[in-house]
Amino acid sequence: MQSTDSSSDEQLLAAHVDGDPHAFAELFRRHSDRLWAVALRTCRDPDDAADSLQDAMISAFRRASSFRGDARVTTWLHRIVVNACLDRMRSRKNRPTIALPDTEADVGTHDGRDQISEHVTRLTVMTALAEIPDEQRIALTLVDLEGWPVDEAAEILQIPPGTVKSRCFRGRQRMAELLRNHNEAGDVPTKSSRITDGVNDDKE
Amino acid sequence: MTKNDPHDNSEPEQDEIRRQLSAQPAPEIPASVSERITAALAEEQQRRTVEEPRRNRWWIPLGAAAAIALLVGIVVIPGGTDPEPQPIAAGCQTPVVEGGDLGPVTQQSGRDYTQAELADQAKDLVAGSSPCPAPTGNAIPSDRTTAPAPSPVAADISNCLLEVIPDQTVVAIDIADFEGEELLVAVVATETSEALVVDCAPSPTVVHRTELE
Repeated sequence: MQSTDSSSDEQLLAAHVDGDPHAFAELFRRHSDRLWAVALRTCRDPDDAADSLQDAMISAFRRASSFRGDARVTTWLHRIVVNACLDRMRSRKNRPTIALPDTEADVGTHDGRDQISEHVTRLTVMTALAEIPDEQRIALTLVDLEGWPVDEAAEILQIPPGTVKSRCFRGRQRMAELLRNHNEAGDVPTKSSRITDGVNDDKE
Repeated sequence: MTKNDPHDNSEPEQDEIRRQLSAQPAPEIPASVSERITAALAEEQQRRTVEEPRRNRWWIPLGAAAAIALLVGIVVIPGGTDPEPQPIAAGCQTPVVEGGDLGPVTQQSGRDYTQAELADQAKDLVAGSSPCPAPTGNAIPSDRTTAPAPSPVAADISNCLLEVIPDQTVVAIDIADFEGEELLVAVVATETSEALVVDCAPSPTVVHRTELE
């Protein structure tokens, strides 16, 4: 039993269950960037994201034999990561400060006004995303940022596809309002932006 | 995208937000985080390597219940170190594992062997099992009428015993308990017969031995 780059995710997981000592590590290596992106954008804090991702991977490692194969392995892994993030977020009700992605340092490396402008726009969009209610933000993270089809995002979140759609719709509406406000006020978000968790107004 | 609000005319707005979000660069996992999680998984794997053999003993395919984790092997060499097989009793009881490269009958009694009574219990095992003798742990008794391909289970038992008692004659093996522990017990004899408790996982080790008087 040997895990290789050519093995499918399902084969790797099966190999792990059968005792292959390298299979799960390969599975993690293969998807680590995408899982990290979801963890970071769900938790909104790099430390929490790292802790959540680690918890999720250990959990998946241990629960691998419970994987029934009725979803893709990546869907299953993302579900565990999102749940780990939600658990961590629930355990931390007061989150006074949101750490934005470490992209500001990149500004100095770019030349030209366009790149700076692009960076500011990017930052503004991500700040607006961080301001909308968690459930809308997580749905948008999966569907718009990560490109998951609605049906699979629904599997990850374990909610009906229609709910994913409505959360995305409302989330985009809310983001559009926030971006309009930012533009009118000429706001430039900073890393120290203080953002509180939104109240879930999702009507399912 | 489903329109939830019938009065909504914000499709372009929705598209624009969708476009802006999809244009966001995906963050790469920091090396420190990746290394940390890889290390945690390696640690978990290490733990699994130690614990798993105890949960998934190689004799589980025998149909043993989870509680059954002891293998009692009786090795008797009457007359000292004579390497020739010495039949203990005629005939062989139907073995749980048959056809492997292990000579003795393997039972699955589920019996709870104890340190204090191991000698007597081992003698009972010898008397009751009518074991098939074998010159060494990997020898197939000459009186076996069938010799199918070795089963993995039998091979694992044989390999385990060969590591701890390479030159002894194994007369009978019982898959059972010993002091409530998941251990493998074997009874062997050199100058005198002995009962050995052997733990086959993670590596074969004799954890207890007693002489059969």
